[in-house]
Amino acid sequence: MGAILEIKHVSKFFGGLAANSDVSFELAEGMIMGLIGPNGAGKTTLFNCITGYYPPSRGEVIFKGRKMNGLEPNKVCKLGMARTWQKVRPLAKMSVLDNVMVGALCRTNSLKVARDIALEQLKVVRLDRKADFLAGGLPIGERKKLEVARVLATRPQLLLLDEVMGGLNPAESEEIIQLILDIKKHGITQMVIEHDMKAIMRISDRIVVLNSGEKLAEGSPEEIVANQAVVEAYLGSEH
Amino acid sequence: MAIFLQSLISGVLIGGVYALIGIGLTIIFGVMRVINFAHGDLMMIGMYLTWNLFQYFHMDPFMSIVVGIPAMFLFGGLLQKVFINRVLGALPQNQILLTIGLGLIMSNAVMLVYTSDYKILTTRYSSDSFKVLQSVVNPDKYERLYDKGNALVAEALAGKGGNAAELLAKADKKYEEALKVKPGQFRALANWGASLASLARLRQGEEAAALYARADEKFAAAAAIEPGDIDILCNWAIAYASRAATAGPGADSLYEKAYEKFKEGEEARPDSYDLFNAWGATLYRQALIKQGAEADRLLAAAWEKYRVALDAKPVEEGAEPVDTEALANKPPAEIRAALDQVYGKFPFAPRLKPDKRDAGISVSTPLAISFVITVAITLLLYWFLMKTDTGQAIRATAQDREAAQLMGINVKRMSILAFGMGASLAGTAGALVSPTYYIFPQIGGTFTLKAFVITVLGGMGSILGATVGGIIIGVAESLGAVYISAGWKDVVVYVLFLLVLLFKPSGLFGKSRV
Repeated sequence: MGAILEIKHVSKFFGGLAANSDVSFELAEGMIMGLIGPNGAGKTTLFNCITGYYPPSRGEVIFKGRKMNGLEPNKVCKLGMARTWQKVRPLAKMSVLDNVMVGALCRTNSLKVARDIALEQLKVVRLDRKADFLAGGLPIGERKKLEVARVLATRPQLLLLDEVMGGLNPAESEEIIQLILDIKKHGITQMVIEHDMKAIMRISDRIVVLNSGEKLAEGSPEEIVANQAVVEAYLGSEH
Repeated sequence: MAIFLQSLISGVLIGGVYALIGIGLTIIFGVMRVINFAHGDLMMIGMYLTWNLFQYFHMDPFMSIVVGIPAMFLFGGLLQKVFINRVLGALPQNQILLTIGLGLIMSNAVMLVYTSDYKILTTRYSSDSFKVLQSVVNPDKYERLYDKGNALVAEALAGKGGNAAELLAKADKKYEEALKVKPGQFRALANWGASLASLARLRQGEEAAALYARADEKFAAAAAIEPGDIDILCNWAIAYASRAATAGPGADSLYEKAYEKFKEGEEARPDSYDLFNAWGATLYRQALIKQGAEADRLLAAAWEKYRVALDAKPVEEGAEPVDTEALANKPPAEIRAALDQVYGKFPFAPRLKPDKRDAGISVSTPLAISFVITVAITLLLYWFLMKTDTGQAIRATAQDREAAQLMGINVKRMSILAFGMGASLAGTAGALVSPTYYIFPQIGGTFTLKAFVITVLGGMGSILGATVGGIIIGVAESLGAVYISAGWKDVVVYVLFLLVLLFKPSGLFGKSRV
């Protein structure tokens, strides 16, 4: 399988601060990549650079062989890349179904088709019972699921999930883990930012560790656990 | 009660147009978070567009929205694409400066072309009105019967159906019932008399005589209650004159009775055009059945009354007043020829006492039409936003621009659409008010402020809020003008506005944003 996403020497500066510097890795189609690192390591910034929310200061983001730098987020979405936000952003005053339909409208102009796609995705995340609820009234766990359903409705080939388990209780987290694994079965490549180490080790095929904006390590979960530099980044040096 | 309802309805009607302006502003704000301070100027452009179409292509102002909506949409879309899109992420003060600047350019450009003269767009129906809720506002049974009778007589006198006698006979019954409910009403008696006399004119012989006698009775009763009422006396005299025309030998004494009534009328109101005109016509009629000096004397008297009538006649706008002095001292032959022209076909129609003055609510026709159009456009807009894919995309953009963009929505396109829609709504509002407002380049400022108050009152970004806000402002203005003073109506609006801001800072339908 070829690489669906290539990150080549991506740097992002905010004034003098380098939020990402010279990050490179590849993401093979169909797998789940975990992106971890301590707070402020530049994980979300990297997501923003990849999804076109802002262009990288240096380097290239190549999606399906196409250079993405500076492409507007809506075009990125149409090309088949979608993301969720760390802080969930449902369209609070619309119904759950309408929220997901907005995503589906990325692929169709027919409200009827959009409704069908949306209902299908709500079933995938097991939120179909609440289709008519106002999105603003959902509890946090269901909002996260809604967010996932909404991005799935855009029919992405690459899905970037930014801390979808943050703030959830273990039972809810377990549901999300199952959901991510289900999505993988559909052949959708995923990149996941997560702080829950147990979860990330379970779901990831490969893991990239960021620290202070730089790539610290990359490898299978087993390799990462054994990596001294990673342990130091998280827990501090013994010396 | 009637005054309250009257001002309430006027307020709602004008409020509908305000709502349209407010909705435009709120859509623009919702999607772009930009307050469009050129909104009133867009409306002004719409007014001038309508005025031009009316002036040069004779297009009805309400029809002109068919041209105005797409034209303003393109204009608004262009403004968005060229100017507003560039400041979407900028500081609010920069956005405000840009829109105010655009507004200034628009109003000054228009002033350059059209000067700052006030333009008026006068249609056939600009000052028309019609009545509604007559039976609700005026539930009095007497009034209903009386109005019904009047309507029947008016229809009969208009003489279109050819069944005048039938209508008058029905009116006879209505007046009778009305006076049974409430006896001693001089208006009903007066009109009853007039309707009986009119019916008598359509009948012959005994039947006519009986009807004239009854008419006489009614007139006498009415005059007893309201002596010196010019309409009663005039109608009474006309009844005698009509009767004289068919009376043969007894005509002279009937004519004398008619003149008696005219004289009484003259004493009460020496300047009534209708009275002197009818008097002149009666004299002329009598002259026709006379010969020689007698006829000349009557013609000279008729001519005299005609001249007085001309003096009393209100001069129509633009017409030269008639020099009645120059008409004096004409030779009999000339008088005769002139009177043949004037009174040859005099109708001798009675003057009906009007309907009870405050029966029903008077609704201005242009405002009513514009309200209907407003409602239709608002519903169409609602349908568009709720039931189409583009509408959903616009709503999503309004709620969270970034999230919407990440869902594949082209938010720049949505912004152009939104500004285009806002501009066409403002332009439509301009077209709708153009038959009732003065049109001048600086009118925009007033409406920008109004639109701003409406949207803040209703809640920024809320279409329902703008609709309700517009109607509230319209009603507040209208009630304020009636119950406090016309000069204070804005005070009422702003006090209301401040109260809403004080107790619900996010507006009536707004969610507070933290």
